[in-house]
Amino acid sequence: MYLITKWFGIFLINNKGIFKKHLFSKNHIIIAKKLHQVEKNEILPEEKEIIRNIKDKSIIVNEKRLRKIGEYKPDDIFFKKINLDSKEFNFSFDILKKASLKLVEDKLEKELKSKDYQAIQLIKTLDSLIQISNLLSERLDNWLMIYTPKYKIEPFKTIIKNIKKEITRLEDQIKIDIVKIAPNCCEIIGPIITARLIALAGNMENLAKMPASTIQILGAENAFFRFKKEGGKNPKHGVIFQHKIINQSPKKNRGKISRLIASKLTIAIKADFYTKRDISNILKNDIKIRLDELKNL
Amino acid sequence: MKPLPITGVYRYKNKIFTENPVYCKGLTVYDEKLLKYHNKEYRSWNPYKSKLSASIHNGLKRLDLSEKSTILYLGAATGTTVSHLSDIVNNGVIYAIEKSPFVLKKLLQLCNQRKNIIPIMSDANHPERYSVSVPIVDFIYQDISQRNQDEIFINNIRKYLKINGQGIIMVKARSIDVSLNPKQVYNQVIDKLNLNKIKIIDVIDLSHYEKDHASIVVSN
Repeated sequence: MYLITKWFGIFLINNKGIFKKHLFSKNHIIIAKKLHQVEKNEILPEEKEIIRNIKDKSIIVNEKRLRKIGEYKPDDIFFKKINLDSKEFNFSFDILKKASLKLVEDKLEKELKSKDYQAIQLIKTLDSLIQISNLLSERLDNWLMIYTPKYKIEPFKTIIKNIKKEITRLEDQIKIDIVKIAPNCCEIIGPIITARLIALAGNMENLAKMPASTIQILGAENAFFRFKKEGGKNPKHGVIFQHKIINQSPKKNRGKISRLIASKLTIAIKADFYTKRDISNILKNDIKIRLDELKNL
Repeated sequence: MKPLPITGVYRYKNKIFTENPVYCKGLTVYDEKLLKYHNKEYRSWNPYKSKLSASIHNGLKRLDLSEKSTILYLGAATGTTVSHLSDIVNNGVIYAIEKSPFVLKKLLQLCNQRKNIIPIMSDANHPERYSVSVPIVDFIYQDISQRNQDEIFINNIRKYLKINGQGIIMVKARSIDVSLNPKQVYNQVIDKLNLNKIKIIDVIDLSHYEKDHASIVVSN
C-alpha cells in the first residue's frame, strides 16, 4: 500500500487503484496551513487518521517526513507511474497558486524580519560608508591644496562630517545588535568582525555550518581562487585578520594564530546558533593557552 | 516575425521574442523591449540576461515544449527566464523553486502578475520536500550555480520527470571547479549524466553571451 500526500488530499493506493482517500477543504488558507505543516516536517493528523484502521500494515511512503508511519522508499517506480491530477478531484489550479503565494509571502515576512539580516544590512551600510568617507576625504585633501573660497568647500565638509557621525552611530548600533545574536563570537573576535563574517556567509545558519578552514579565509576569496587557479601561496586569513590578535602578532605566527581563532570561532558560532549556551570563557581560555605556547616557541 | 522550431519563440531581425499574453498587455518584467506586430505584443528575449535565450541564439534547435507543458524550474531567481517560459507555456504550469528570500521577493511580483507560475520556497537539494505541491512534469529546467548542480539535476529528474520527458541544465564550469578547463568540466557532467542513464541530446556552449557556461539538453 502506498501513501501519497498531495496539496489537495491524501491517498492510499494499491495495485488496483485508489483504496482510500481524504480530500482537503478548497479554502486556500487552509491548504497553505497544511503545506506549512508539511514543510515543518510534521505528520498531518489526516495522515495518521487514514492509516488507522488499515489491516495491511506495510505502507510505503516517498517522503522522509513520513518515516514514522511507513517505509521510506523514494526510488520506488510506482510513485512515478501514479500521477494524481488535481482536476480529477475538482480542485482548480488556482487554489494551489493562491495557497503557495500566501505560504511564500508569510515565510518571507518571517525570514526577512530575522535579526541576522538586519545586522547584515547594518554592516554592509557601514562598510560602504567607510569607503565613501575615505574617498571623499581624499578628494577634500586634494581640493584644499589649491586656493578655494570658503563658501564653495564648506557644504562638502559638512557632508563628510555627517558621514563620519553616521559611521560611529552605525558602529554603536551593530555592537548592541550583534551581541544579542552571537555573544560567543563577539567575545572572541569583537562585534564588527562577527557581523562581517555573518554578512560574508549570507546568514547565521550558513556560517554555523561552515568548517573552520572556510571561516579562516572568509573575505579572501579572490586570493584563494587565484591560488586554486594559478598556484602560489594560499591566503592565511580573511576578515579575521582585522582583529588585533592577528595583525599585531609576528608575521611567522599569523597563520597559526588565524587557524586557532578560526577553529574556536567555528565552535562559538555553533553554540550561538544552535544551543545558545555561553561557552566564551572556555574558548578564550583555550586561545590563551595556545597563544602562550606560541610565544615560547 | 518568423516562428522558430521551438514553440512560442519568434525571430525578428536577429532578435528573438516571445508573445506577451493578453492579460499582461504593456507589462514588462526586466525593462525588455515590447514590439507590436499584427495586433499581438511580443517581448524581446535578451540573451545576455537569460541563458535559455543565449542557447537558442547559439544554435539550440529543438525543445519539447508545448502550450500545455508543465515545467519544474529549479533556481528561479528573479524570474527573467521564468517570465519567457511562462509566455511559451501559456496554458501550462511552471513550478518555480527558489531558496533565497531576497530574490523571491522580486519573483513574487511576477507571480502576482502571471497566472501560470507557482512559487515554492524550498531547497532543490532535497526534492522530496516539495513533492506535495509538484506533480510529475514534462520538462525540467535547472540553473543553479552550485558545486553539486549535476547531482541536484539528476535527483530531480529521477523524482519528477515523466518518461521521455526533457530537461535542460545550465552548467557553470567555474562553480563546479575553478581549477579545471571548462571543457573538462562539461565532459565530467556529461559522463555523470550518462552514468545515471540520462540521454544527452545536445550540448551548447554559451560563449559570447556567458563566460564558461554550457547548456546541456537531456532526456530520460
